[in-house]
Amino acid sequence: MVKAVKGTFIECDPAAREVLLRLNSEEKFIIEDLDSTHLFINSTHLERVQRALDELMDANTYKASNLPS
Amino acid sequence: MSKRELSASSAAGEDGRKRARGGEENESESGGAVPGNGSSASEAEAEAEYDSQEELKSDGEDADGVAGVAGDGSGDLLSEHDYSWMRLKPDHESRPLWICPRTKHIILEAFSPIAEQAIDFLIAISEPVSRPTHIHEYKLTQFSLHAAVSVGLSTTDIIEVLNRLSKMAVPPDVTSFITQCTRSYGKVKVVIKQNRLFIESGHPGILQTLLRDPVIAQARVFPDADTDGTVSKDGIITQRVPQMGDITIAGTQKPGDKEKAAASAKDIAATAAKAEAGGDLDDAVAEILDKEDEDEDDAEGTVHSFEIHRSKYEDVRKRCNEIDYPMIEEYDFRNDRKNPDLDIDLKPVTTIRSYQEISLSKMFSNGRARSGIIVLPCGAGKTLVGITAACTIRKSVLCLCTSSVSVMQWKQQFLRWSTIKEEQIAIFTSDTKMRFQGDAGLVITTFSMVSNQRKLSAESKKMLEFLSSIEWGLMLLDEVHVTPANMFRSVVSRIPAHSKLGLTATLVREDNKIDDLNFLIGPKLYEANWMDLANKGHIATVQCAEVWCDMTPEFYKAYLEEASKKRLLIYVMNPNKFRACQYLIRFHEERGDKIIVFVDNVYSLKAYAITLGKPFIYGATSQSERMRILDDFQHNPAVRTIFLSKVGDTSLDLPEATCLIQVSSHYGSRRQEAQRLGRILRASRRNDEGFNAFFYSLVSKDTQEMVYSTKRQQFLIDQGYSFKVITHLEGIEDCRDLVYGDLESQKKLLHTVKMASEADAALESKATDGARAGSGGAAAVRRGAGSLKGLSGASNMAYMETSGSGRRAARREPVEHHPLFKRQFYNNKK
Repeated sequence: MVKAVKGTFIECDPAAREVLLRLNSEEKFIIEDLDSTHLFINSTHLERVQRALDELMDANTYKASNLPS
Repeated sequence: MSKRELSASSAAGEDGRKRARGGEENESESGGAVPGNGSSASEAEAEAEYDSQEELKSDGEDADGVAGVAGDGSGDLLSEHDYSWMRLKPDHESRPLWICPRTKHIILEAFSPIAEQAIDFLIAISEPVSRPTHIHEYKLTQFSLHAAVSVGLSTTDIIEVLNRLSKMAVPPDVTSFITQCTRSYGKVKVVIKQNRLFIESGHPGILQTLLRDPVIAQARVFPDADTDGTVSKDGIITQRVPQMGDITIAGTQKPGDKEKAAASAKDIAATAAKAEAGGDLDDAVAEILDKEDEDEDDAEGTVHSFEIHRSKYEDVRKRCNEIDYPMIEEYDFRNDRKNPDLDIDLKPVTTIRSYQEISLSKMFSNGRARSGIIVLPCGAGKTLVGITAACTIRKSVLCLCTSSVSVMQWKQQFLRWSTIKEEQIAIFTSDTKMRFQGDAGLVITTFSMVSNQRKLSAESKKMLEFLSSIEWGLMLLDEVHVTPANMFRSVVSRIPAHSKLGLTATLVREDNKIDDLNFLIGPKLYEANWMDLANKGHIATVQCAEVWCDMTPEFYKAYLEEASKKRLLIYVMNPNKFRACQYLIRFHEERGDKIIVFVDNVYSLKAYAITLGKPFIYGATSQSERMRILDDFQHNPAVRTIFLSKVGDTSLDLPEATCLIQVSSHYGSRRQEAQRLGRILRASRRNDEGFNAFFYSLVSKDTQEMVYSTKRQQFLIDQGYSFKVITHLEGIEDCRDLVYGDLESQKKLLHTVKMASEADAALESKATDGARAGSGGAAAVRRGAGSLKGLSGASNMAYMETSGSGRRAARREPVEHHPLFKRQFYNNKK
């Protein structure tokens, strides 16, 4: 029986790829790890992955309102 | 960036004058351009305003004609900051100011043709907040307005000139704020007499109002027989003849009341309340204020005062500010005949620079010394300002600095610039305890010596008693931003000084304690414009750059996996950073620059310096070795680069250094960034044509370091510096021989980093570097006897049975008791 899964082709920098690989270890969504900048992932997880990446990037961005004074 | 801002501006109203805060979060990302620090709403607005104006210049309009782009939910953000009700004056384009009615911030177009005059005026009435190239931000505060009044500006002057410069009519909020701050200023004074604090006023009504306040009433000390004599003596602060006014006497001079003085604080408050009730209380506050002119005439010749507890002084001062009777702490040193004069003057060859003169004129504006803080960049001659102040007051001076090294520096500077004799200078550190000869003199000591109350040698104790017995004409506080720390607060209140002058380059702290300085020392009197000084050649022009280094995939993987402490080590040891550092060193060495590399973390400091074969100094380096390395750096042309840990942040004078690379730093400390920049501001080659000093900050991309790095820059950005972001170093691939070029060596590096302990990842603790900088390095290695068990960490282990049925069960239900305890046990059980 053939099973079809909708996939998304992702291009990213090596750092983002590491983040994705790490997320993948919690819940599998990567269908094929192509090379250091390309991945093929399950489309149903796309939104979750995007959110997780955004959160990480936000955490590493300075907000002017963080300033105490 | 532009899109979001435009959308925000269109939502803000048709004149586009007011911006949503939407622009704010984008600013940090804009990196190199003109990022504002966005410390407040209005500033963000100003920056957004400016940016969008720039972008729209091609439209030949200012923000008025922004085309509508769908708003991005900025409506709720606007509610507090919607000033679209304010109307522009028809000729607003030729006027350079905006005033924010809510926060009292003033935004100035620094590119306006009349900006220079406007800046002169704004400096007099407000405090500078941020001064990038094109838009400046100032803030009206109580203190700045007080300063304005004391230099002779009247309330109407201030409002009128503001109105003339402003793009719209001065908002009523601002007008009333200015009136409120300026009218009650100068009515209440603090006077130190015989080492006791008195609150003095020409208007008995005001003192009564003050005493009605519970906080102040509690701090009050009732005069005893001795006091009466001294208080009625000639006044010290004023020329008038102080008499025992109603206030001091009211209800307290009768013998019966003397005992009450010894009663508890609550009783005192009650007494005070009674005394007031007896006195003439009908004068309402408003009336007093209305009648103040007449009062002044009536009060001529009389000064009324009451004494307060020294320990409560800070509270009282805070309280007085809250209830709008700010106390002035001015010292009429010329008419002070009681305290002995100190024979000190500037040497004839000493010349002070114009900005130093301006800063001091703020302090001595009306012929009296006012307490406060002067902010000058590193290397701009703070010491000389302090010395000149001492020479102006010519009374005993107490000078406090941060370390014993700077104690010696201050002494040298005093001898170099002024005519003070060596025997008049006393040094009080843990090593030397001297006293000056004669009645008046100069004592130089450290904050920690005077604030440390425990663990004092008998000699130090005597010295401290001596310090608090003298009435100091001037207390100089070097690096004054350290004083809000709790341990130092007591110093300021314990030692009596007629005036205090704080000096610093960086009036920022990561906690909010910087505001406390207003009460501890005084308001900010003057803040130099760094860019101005750089343009005039007093400090070096610096090119600042932030270099983004990609994390290698292996390191980033490790970074994601590690706990937070070790993350630091991983992003510092990032091989790409390593390579960037090596590349920059090589590049600048070839240009003939002398380079300082700062690495905060000792483990990576060693790794970097040893790998790259450069000398390094950190907390545990012995004094003699330090001297040798620094000497080499200054005089040996072969040594062009040194690595320093945090110990090099301050009090290292290396005029040869022209380039600075920062590899790792103390998280988000803005102060550290500015201080490090200070190391190259005094570059001796600064006056060469076209000379630039370089400041690089290496940052690992996609890590926490990015956040810290941006935060650290905020202070310098406020001073007008801009950071270029370099994402790729030109020509780095051509250098084949850089370290960690291949995957194999990178993996090896990662392995060693992973093996490093958590302790290695921690930053060098401040305590060690402070202590060692002074005393010359304690031994880092300790030798002693120890058992194998102890060394392996087993000495604290004990054998323990943990299975449930064992000990715990047994404790609950003892099988058999000794007959002696049997009854006791069963009785308890029932």
